[in-house]
Amino acid sequence: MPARVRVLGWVAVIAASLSLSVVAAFDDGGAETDAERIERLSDSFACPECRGQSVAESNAAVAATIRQFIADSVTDGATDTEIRDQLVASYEARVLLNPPADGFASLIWVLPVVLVVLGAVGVGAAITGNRGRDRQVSDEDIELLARARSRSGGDHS
Amino acid sequence: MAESMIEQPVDGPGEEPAPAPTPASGMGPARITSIVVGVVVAGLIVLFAFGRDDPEADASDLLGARAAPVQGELLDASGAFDIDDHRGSWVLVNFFATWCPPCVAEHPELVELERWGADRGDLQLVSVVFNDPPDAVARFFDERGGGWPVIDNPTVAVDWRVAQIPESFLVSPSGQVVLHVEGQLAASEIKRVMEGE
Amino acid sequence: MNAIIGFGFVTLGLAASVLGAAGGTYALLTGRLYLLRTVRQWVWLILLAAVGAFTVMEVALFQRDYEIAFVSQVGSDSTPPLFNFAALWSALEGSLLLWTLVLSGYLAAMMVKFRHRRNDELLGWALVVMLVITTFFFALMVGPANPFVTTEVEPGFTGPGPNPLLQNHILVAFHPPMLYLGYVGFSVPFAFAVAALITGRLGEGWLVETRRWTVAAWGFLTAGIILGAWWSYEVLGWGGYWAWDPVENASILPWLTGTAYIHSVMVQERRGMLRVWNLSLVCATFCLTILGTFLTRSGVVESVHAFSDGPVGPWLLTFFGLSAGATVLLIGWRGDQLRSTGLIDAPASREASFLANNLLFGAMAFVILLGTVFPLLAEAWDGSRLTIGSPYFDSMARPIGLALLFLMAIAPVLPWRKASTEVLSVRLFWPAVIGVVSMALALLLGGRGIYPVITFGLGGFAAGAAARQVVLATRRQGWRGLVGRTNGGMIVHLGVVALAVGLAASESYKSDRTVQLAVGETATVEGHEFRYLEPGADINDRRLRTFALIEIDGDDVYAPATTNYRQVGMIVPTPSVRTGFTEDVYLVLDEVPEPGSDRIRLRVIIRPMVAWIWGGGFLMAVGTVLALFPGRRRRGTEPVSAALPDGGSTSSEPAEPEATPDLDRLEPVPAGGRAPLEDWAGAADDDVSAPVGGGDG
Repeated sequence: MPARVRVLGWVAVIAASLSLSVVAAFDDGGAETDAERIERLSDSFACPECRGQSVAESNAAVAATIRQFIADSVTDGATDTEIRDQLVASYEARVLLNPPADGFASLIWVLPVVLVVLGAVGVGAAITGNRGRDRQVSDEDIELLARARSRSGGDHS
Repeated sequence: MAESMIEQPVDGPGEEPAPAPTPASGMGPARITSIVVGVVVAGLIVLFAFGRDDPEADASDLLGARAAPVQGELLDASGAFDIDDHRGSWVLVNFFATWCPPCVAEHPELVELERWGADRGDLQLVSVVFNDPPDAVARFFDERGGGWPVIDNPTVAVDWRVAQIPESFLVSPSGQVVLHVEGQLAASEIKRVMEGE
Repeated sequence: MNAIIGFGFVTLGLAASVLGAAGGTYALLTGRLYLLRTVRQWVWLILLAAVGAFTVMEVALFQRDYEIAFVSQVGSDSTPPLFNFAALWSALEGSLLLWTLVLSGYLAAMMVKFRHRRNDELLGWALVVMLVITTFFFALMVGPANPFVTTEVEPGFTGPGPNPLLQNHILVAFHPPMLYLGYVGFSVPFAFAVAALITGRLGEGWLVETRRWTVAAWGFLTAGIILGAWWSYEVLGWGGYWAWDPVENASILPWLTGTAYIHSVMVQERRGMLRVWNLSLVCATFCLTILGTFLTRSGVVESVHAFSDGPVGPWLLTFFGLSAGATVLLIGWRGDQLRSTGLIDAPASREASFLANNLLFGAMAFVILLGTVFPLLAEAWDGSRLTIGSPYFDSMARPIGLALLFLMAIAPVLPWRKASTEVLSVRLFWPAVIGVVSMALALLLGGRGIYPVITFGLGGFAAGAAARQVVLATRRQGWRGLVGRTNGGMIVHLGVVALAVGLAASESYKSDRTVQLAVGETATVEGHEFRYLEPGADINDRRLRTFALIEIDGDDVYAPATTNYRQVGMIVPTPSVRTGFTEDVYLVLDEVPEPGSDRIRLRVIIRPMVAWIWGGGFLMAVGTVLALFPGRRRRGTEPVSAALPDGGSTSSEPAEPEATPDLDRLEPVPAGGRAPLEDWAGAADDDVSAPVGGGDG
């Protein structure tokens, strides 16, 4: 493939992937139905006695009740926040599967980001930091190399 | 086999340790990192040794609190129930389902309490059903006796923080939760609390 | 009788481990290396003890010897043979028997494999480390978790059988042994790593020795985790396969560090760099397997998998502390001496991509560990009680997973040292086209949402890059193009892509409805018709199964059930799944059908492409096996000359500008003359890619 064709090909590939991503992101299949909303909400609350399983996942009685509570509240027109607040009032913060983003709990969001950034900086420094270095071959290096070669020849008799 | 023979001259016995490119003096990155990791691991161990994610800590703190609302249409559609109509009387709030074996097992105890309470005249039973079709509940009561009000309102279970059924609460005449029974209830337990006042 | 023999074996195992470890240490410390030969006898005795103890317990289970307390807890007259056999690992004490069996097997295999180096100090220390580990596990069984404690039962006792969840699917017979083979398998590289640290012989020698062990352990762990997810899907009845439960997290942690290791080890083999880092990864992997066992067995974090809380929590925690502490001390002591001087030349190079890979796997492991222990941290901090669940893990794991997919597409085509834009644009073009086509296809088939569609795109991209490698290799080498680490690794990559695509689709497009049905009624969910034909029940002396016959789309009949295990009085839902290539229909009864009632509450969960996850897992296992076969040109190349410019394997990519000759000539020096590795390690892939550059350019 000639180089110019390939450049055009790459432009097409990048343009296509970007536009397809945009379509995927914005055409989300219409407004959320009640059923979808109930499903989403059920996924976001923990069943209080099920060791971290969500209300949607658990077969425990309390999960079924909370599912029913969510369904009833959605049908009654309650907002997400109202449903959340009422569940938190009853079962406390542990009913939330997604930890709050304030106070001590915010660390759970901040720490990974900080660590990844630090790691990326470290890796970046390890790579770029080496680039400017002098890579002259010294006589000593050449001697070492010669020794390594002769040794290998000897060993392999 | 072959690779280890090749290895011998380099890594075999009698060979000096790999040449140290950087002298071990002072604090190299490996040392600093291992100190940091060591501290974190030690913290983790302390946390595991002394921090307990204790499910028992969840025991209902409703105990001693004012009773949360219990209201709803009666399952047999003969009216409504509201706990506030029963202030001045003991109320036993029972959460159950016909499909839950311990609930079935505790039913005779409730029937006994209803009979005993009727003699005293100051105990009202109410059951909040969990996830159960009304006809199943009706048949359940027909077969096993008992005629106290049954409501189906998931908000009640949420308000009362019910996690597993059966679960029962005894509310005093003043509207305070005085007993919380997780699992099967025994009639004697309720009687003891009510008589010991 | 069984109890006495069994306990005898356990005691023998402990004694042999202690004596072996002590004898080995004495020989090594005093320099009397010839004494290391005696370790051999102790190892055989340990193997005998572990096999013996395991066998005795199995015999006791089959004889229904309820005199042994363990049998009276997990055995029953009515358990069928397969589940009775698997009952051994359904509770703590028995799983320790399995663990020691696997550990002793690895120990013996290690000794046999390296018998020609019996007098080698490095091997000596590695054996001592293994013996210390066996000492610990036998000590657990002699002390706090003795499987052979006796008890008295009334005549007529028939036993409860294992936990119902552990006796209703064939996968319980395979998932734990696989997981243990993986977990325990990492002990071998760990032992060598510690030995290398102690002796200071941090050459690549020990890496070569243990590489296949590591890859095999990794394969077992992968298979174990995926079988576990499958078990969870088929048995637990909540319609999912991965709940970010602490025990699941515990199993994925060593997998992540292990995966990081088997990638970054290639940098060390090829370039002699990252020695200390690789050691740390191996040690971290081992420590995390112990931490995982602790989390599973101690009940310190809430988990649905806590089948066997026991008294061993503090012991395991101590052992974790000792292993982690020893590792940290050794690395702190030796680390800086052992660091290599290699340099990474360019950000667009194979070695830099492995660094990025390690960063991402490290970040993933950190996030999962943090999420798992955070509830404990928060409670210790201010008494607040939090739940860290799937939404948190999902939102963290998704971007990391996407970045990994992207890297998986780029890295296999990157040459070592330095890549030019030209090379990349040639090699990546068709994979990128495949990626775009996958995105378009996903959109055409109705897929929406940025995450899944990008996953499909990157998945196609990565699959294209992996497939390119396999196609080129097979074209050049015939069937041999499928074996060897590089080629097998690419098959594993294809499996990972299938798995990632399956995860994205089944998580993003699932629907979950609960419907009430009376006999004869039909409900429609997501275009499928569900007709309730009739209820049914089957009873035997073990269980009472109540099921509902459901006809899907007027065709197949499925029978979701609830099963009441009568010996334990526990009722578990048993889902029924119609598995398909594009979509699973998962039926589960939301409650036990009322006898006599004709109504049921049926939960219908529809998840697309779940089968791709299992298929991907299978492909990963196959790829691992292929990677274990010796690749092309494993032997027959001169050790050092291979890396020299005239050796022909350093870089044969015509389209790629050669790295400076000086650097190439210098290569053997930092690697300490350990060039042979290149042949059966990294060299093959450069060879493989050669024709493409030639053909395209």
